[in-house]
Amino acid sequence: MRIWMLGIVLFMSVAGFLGWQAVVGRIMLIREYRRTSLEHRFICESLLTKESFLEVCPSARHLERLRVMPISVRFPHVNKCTISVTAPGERPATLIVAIDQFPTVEQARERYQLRRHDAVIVDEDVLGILGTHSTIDGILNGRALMLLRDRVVADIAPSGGGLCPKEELMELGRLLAQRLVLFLPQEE
Amino acid sequence: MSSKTNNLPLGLDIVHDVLADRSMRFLNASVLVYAALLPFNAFGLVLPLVGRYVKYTELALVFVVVCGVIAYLTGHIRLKEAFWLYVFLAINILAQILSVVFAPYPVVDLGPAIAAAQYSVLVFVLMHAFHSERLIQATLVVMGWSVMIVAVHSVALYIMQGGIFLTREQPSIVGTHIGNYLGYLLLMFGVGVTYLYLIQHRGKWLVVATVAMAIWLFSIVISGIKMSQIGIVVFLALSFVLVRGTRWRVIGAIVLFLALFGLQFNVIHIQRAVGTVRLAVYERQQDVRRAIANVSWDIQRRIPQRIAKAPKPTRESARASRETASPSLTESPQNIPVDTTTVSPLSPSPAPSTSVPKKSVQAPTGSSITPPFTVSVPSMAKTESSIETKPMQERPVFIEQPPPEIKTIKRDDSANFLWARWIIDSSRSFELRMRGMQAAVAMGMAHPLTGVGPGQQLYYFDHFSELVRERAYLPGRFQWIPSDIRKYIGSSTRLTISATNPNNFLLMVWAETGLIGLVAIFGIFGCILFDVARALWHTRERSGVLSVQVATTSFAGLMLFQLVNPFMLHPWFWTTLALLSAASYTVVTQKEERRTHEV
Repeated sequence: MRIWMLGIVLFMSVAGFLGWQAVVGRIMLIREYRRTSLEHRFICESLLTKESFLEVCPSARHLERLRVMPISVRFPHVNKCTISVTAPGERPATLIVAIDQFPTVEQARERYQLRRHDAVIVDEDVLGILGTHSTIDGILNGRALMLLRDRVVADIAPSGGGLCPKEELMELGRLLAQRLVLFLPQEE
Repeated sequence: MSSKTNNLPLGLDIVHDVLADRSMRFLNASVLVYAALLPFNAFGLVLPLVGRYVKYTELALVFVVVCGVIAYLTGHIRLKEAFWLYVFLAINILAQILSVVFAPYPVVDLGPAIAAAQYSVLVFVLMHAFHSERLIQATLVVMGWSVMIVAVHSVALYIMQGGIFLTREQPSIVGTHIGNYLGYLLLMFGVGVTYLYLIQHRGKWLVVATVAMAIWLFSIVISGIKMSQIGIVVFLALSFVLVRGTRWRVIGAIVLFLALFGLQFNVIHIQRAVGTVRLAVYERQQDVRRAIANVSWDIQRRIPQRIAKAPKPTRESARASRETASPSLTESPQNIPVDTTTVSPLSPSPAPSTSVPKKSVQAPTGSSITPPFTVSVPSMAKTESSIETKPMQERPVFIEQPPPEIKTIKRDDSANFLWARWIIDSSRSFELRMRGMQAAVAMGMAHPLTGVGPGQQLYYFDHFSELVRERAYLPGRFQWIPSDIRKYIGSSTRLTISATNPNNFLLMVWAETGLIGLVAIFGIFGCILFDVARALWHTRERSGVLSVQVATTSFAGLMLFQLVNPFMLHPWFWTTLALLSAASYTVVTQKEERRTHEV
């Protein structure tokens, strides 16, 4: 029985240290990460599949256990769709696509500028797609292709293992830029 | 024979004792071989018939299991009464199974889950294989000897590379270039070196043990793993508290470590200071050489005048002067061969010739020869009298010596690896670890019961790192933390799995196996630490070094290390747990048996 008491003491210690409100807040975060609309989740899951990724990034075909995994999360100010492409290994090959859907265009522009502010800008309007701003950045931890279309900001960052060299990253950017319209409200 | 073996140094008497026990010899030997091979866990061989790659430690463990089963069947060891520990070890296996079954994305690679479950079995096997206090002591001795191979190798590399040891870029004898492995290994197995240092009696072997301790401590310093260095201080400080009767030695070890750390931390400044001193000495030597050359030159200039003023020579002295053909000192010295080596102006014979070719210098011409430098010449008379009796064979010439080569004098502070690790890299390291830990917390919160699956955090990390990054944009977060620290905790930098990871063993368990895994690991820790507390309480009055004391202090350092570097899926960590459990259990059972006997 004393072992179980140790667990209670530990929990009380953590609660006392963080504060009860903080503990409740932490537990409530579980909900926050699951609260997302079915429509958003469906779009996020269909945006990039393993097959479509390998079409635009053929250099990743040799990687074993490559996994394309989408997760959609709702924050009070933004709907996030993050798609990770990962192949484990001694040095895992990873690529993360983060698509932020804002309520207004201004917020999206602000986020786009903010992210550009964090980065060292190498080149702008690299994709040349009408209605879409595109920037390729050299950042602290690698390079990233950023897109802005209406109220949606996308951030594509191959971060390790040499996944998607520059030409392939451009192709992936073009593919996603075309599909970003799915996140925009449809005109009636 | 027995008296000889009792006097064996550096713990060899303990090893001899456990191997001399006929009934348990094979089990003891297999345990010691396992402990000796454990630092080199990365190495193995391909089995000839099966064709499968097997690690040496796995082979040794098979022998431990076989010998342990035989010892159990023959009644030499019995199952320990640790019900709750067995329960939590079983829960750990259950947590892996549930985590695989309920993983949000199907687990393809079962390797991490199987490994984590196997380690529960490993703890069970080893806590029984370490069946006596003497065997645990012998294991500590073997661990100490084994880690000295790694420590000596590291220090040798450091010396051979001219004071540079880059853990992350050079092949290590441990079999991996990951610096944290070396840091963890040195911290974990260093308990053996410390044990040898503490048990050694006065005499020459204590000196040897102290040197070994210094080499081990210095290898930790040059490895540059910050948490390993903090862990060693905690380890030694706790040893001071727990190990009675050897506190002065522990203080000595702490002082030694701090001195070595201070030396390496300021190595560039020290090298600069040494370089400055060497340059000053060089300048002083040059001044002295110039002065000597001037004195000699002045003497040579005055000799003809003395000869002119001297009384008429006698017949004997004239004969002597005819026999020694001295060169004319008044002629203008043109194209005189000069030895480039240092020539002592007062020596009667020229300096031995070297391989350096002789070269000519243009000496000053004219009737009055001015010395190259103006110096004061003390006690001239005595020198002149000694010179006058000897013939001048060669004109002394002052040759400028090349300045000493000081390699590091132009290097800046960032060239000091340890300094850079502590001062430059710390903020970046803190930012990476904070992001990793927050992402792990969020990962566990999203899948609280069974986690994302063993080994699966790799796939999920980037998502949750992105979520943490998003929350950094929310206003009013972490306002209670000072802004200098908050900017790293609430950083909005894009950080992915290629740059960081959960970084904390408890959060790793939380993220991958959820609440069930966390209960299992806390339960295992709780049971073992409960026994440890009882053992330490029972031995609070005993002097001398007990294995439970040093194992506990080492465990504390290792836990500290694991708070920022997870080593859950590695046999080193679980072997430490088994060793600590066995050491505490031995003390507790001894105490209970004694009490029962008294009753």
